[in-house]
Amino acid sequence: MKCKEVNKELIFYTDNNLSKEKKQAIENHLKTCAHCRNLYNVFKESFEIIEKEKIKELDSFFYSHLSEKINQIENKKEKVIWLKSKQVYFQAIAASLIIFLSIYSGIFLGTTNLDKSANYTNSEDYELFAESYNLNQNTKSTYEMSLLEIEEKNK
Amino acid sequence: MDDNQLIKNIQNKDSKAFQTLVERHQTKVINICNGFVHNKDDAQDIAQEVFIEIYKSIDKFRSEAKLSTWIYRISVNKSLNFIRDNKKNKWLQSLDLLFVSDKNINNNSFIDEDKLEEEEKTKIIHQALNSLAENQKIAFTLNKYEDLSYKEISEIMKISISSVESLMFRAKKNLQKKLINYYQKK
Repeated sequence: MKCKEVNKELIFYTDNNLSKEKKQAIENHLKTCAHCRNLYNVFKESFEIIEKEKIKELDSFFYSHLSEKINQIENKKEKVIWLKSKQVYFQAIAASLIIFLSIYSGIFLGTTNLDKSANYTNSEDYELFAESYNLNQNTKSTYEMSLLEIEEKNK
Repeated sequence: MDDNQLIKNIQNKDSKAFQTLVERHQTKVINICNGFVHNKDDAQDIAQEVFIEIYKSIDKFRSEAKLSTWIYRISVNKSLNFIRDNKKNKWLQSLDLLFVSDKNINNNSFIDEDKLEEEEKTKIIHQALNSLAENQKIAFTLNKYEDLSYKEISEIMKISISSVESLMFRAKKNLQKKLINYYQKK
């Protein structure tokens, strides 16, 4: 067997994947060829390195670390479930607050406007009223017309 | 306790049963993860993630498949995801390594040459393994780091036994080529 042929099969020889005949031929070659023997040692050492890397003993802290992590996940899950179960209550409180605030602000605005407009009884007073609210001319004439109508009725 | 009973007990929130499962498969899972990432601390972290995933999804497990097949498949997927995520930050890591190696050179004036040589050989075999195509790497790692049979590997990878044989053949051929190239250049 020549070096080139041996090099092609060397890893299979090292991993014990060859037929008896091929194995014997390579063994005979390795006895006489230092170069191929060196390469064989490289493969042998590589497989030995992999073998050495294997962990064979149980790490006693592995499970305690793991259960700690799982407990944290479970606690988070419980918090999320609690928040979800209370979600309906939170939504109800928020909705009632909004309703209460809108009713209250409506009442507040309504009463202050009534207070302001209640004092205006003649045309001069209306000027002040219209000025404060930027009301246009049409509205002013409508107001004057309504005053005239009232006067005519009184006559 | 057999695997089916173990799963039923875990599904019924029996923490002792889960501890038994972890202790039964812990070293195998760590070895598989280590075969992919070549770092024992990272392998331990990935193995923890594997068991958390098992804990979370044990209700979805169907007893048609073997428990160990399911666990090893999760281990392979988690390890590959870890490698993919790490690749994204590779340039940052290489910068970090540059500074660490400088520090080591300055601090260790008395270097054990035998240890250095072994470290270099380990690095070379890791590089050769990392250069393999993903499927070849999975088959080789499961076979060499956890001594799984071709049949078990075929179940984990969901391929035929002959495909596993072919992957193993090509993985060894490629490793042989890489190692010969490296040592002939030397």
